Amino acid sequence: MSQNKYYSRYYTYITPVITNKLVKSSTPYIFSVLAVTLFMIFIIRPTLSTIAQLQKNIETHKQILDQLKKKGQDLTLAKQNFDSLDPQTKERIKLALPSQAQVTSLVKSLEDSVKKEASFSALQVQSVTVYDNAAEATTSPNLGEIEFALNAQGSYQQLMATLDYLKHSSRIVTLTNIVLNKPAEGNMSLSVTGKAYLLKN
Amino acid sequence: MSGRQFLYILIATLITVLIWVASDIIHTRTQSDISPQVQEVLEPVNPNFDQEVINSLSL
Repeated sequence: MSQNKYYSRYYTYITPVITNKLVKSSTPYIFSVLAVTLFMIFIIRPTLSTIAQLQKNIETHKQILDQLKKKGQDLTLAKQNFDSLDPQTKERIKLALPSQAQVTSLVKSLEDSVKKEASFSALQVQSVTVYDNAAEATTSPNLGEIEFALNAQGSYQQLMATLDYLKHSSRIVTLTNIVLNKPAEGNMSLSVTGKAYLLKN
Repeated sequence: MSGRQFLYILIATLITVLIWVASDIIHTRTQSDISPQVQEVLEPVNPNFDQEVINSLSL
C-alpha cells in the first residue's frame, strides 16, 4: 500500500497554514520573542540574580572586614589606654565592678558607708552565685546584678550623709527605692533597696 | 488569534519578564544578609575611657 506522503492527512492540514503569508512573516518573530523570553526566565534571570547576590556578598564582607579592622584598632587602643591607667585607678575599677559577686566586699562597702554617720540595723542580700567557676566564657561579657536591702537609723542629717556615702561607695550601686520613716519616738529610720553590679565574663 | 496578536502578547510577556528580572536583581542588591549575631559583634567600641566617671569612683 504505497501512498504519496504529501497526500496524507497531516500535510492536508498543515500545508494551508505554512503557506499563509501572515504566518510566514510573523512566525520567526514570534519564535524569536518566545526564545528570548524563555532564555530570560530560565538562564538570564538566575545568572544575573546570582551575580548580584555575589556582588552584594563581596560588598557586605568588605564592609564587615572594615568594621572588624576598625574595632580591632579601637580594642588595641582601648587596651593601651587601660594599660596606661595608674594601678590605683585600675584597682578602683576592679573594686567597683568585680568579675565575681564578692558579697563580702559589697557588705563591707555598704556597712562602711552607713557606719560613718548612722547606725546600721539590717542588711539583706538577695540570692547570688558567690563564685561561678563553671560558667562558660561568652563572646560578650554581660552585667550581673546583686539586689540588696539595708536599714539604718539616725538623725535626718546623718541619714542624708549616709545616702551621700552610698552614692560614693567603692562598689557601683544603684539605689532603686529609698524610704525615710520618722517614728513617734527615737531616731529616723532609712530603708534602701538597690543593686550592685558585677561583670560576668 | 492572528499571528500579530500573538506577537503582541509575547512582547508584553517579554517586557513583564524584563521587569521581573530587574526587580529580582534590585531586591537581591538591597536586602541585608548580616545576621544579628554579626551585627552585635560589629558594634563599635569607644577606646577612650571617661575620666570623669573613673575619677568619681572612690577607693
